[in-house]
Amino acid sequence: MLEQGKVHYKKVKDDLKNIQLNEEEARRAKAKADLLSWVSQVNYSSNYDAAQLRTCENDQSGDWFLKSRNFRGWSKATSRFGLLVTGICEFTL
Amino acid sequence: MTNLFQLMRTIAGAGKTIMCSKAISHVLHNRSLNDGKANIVYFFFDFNDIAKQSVEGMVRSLIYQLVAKADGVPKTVQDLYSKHQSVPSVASPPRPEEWQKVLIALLQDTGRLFVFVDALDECAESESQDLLETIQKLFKKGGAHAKWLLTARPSPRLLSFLQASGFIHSSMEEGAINSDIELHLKVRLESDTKLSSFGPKAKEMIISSITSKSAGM
Repeated sequence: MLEQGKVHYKKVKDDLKNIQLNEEEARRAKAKADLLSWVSQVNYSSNYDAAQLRTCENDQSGDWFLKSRNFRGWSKATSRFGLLVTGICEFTL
Repeated sequence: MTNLFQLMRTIAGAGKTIMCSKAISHVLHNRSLNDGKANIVYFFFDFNDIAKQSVEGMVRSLIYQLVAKADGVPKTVQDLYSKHQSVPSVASPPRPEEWQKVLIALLQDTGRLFVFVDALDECAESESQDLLETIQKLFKKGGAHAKWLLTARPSPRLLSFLQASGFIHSSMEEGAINSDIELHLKVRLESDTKLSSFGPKAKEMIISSITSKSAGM
């Protein structure tokens, strides 16, 4: 009986500790979310998402670039590497 | 008229944006490039979105993405936040140089890093010089392993500035022309009665030697 009580007591203690840990974690997550929304509120992925939707699987536009020597060299490089890609259309007013 | 002009610019920009998105997706989903530990961040300048036309907007969004992926909050960012937000009544926004310093520190602390910036030409005209100088600074100071991919409409000033900063130039014009030549050759090699008798190896050689010679025409 006494032994059972001890086991139960230990379980309650562990549960309490876990709850406190979870609260601490939640507090930290909330603080990080507050900081992040202070840093930037720009929906940075919307253009990427839209482009992903627009290109279907068999769309090959731009594939020449992924296969180009410049891009392959860039993607495999292990040190600093900058690549500038310029487009085709030029408009002047 | 303004709307038509805007529409034309949007269509012109779409090619770059789709290409940039494809490059991002390629890196994200390629196991040898992204083992789960690589950091992939990006920013799209956008004529149609006022929030995506400023240098500060780019810098802050890149900070956001790096912090969001980090465990906890890096000290440099926490310090800036505490300095400017601890007493809300006297809270002041950080100056652009402060954001920039934090971003450079984060870039330096990030091991494998891919940074994509799309459509530099869609940044506000008044900030175009600041944008080039900021990118130059971030590229040179931020991390010895960082890989940057930029897209832009071609302009002589932008080209010479970024090439002087160490960027390699790749033109969509050349690539697109080349891939068209390749397509044309493939069709001819299959359909022409004489040419189609060549073996696959020979056909490949014909295509690669012709397309490599026509690069830059």
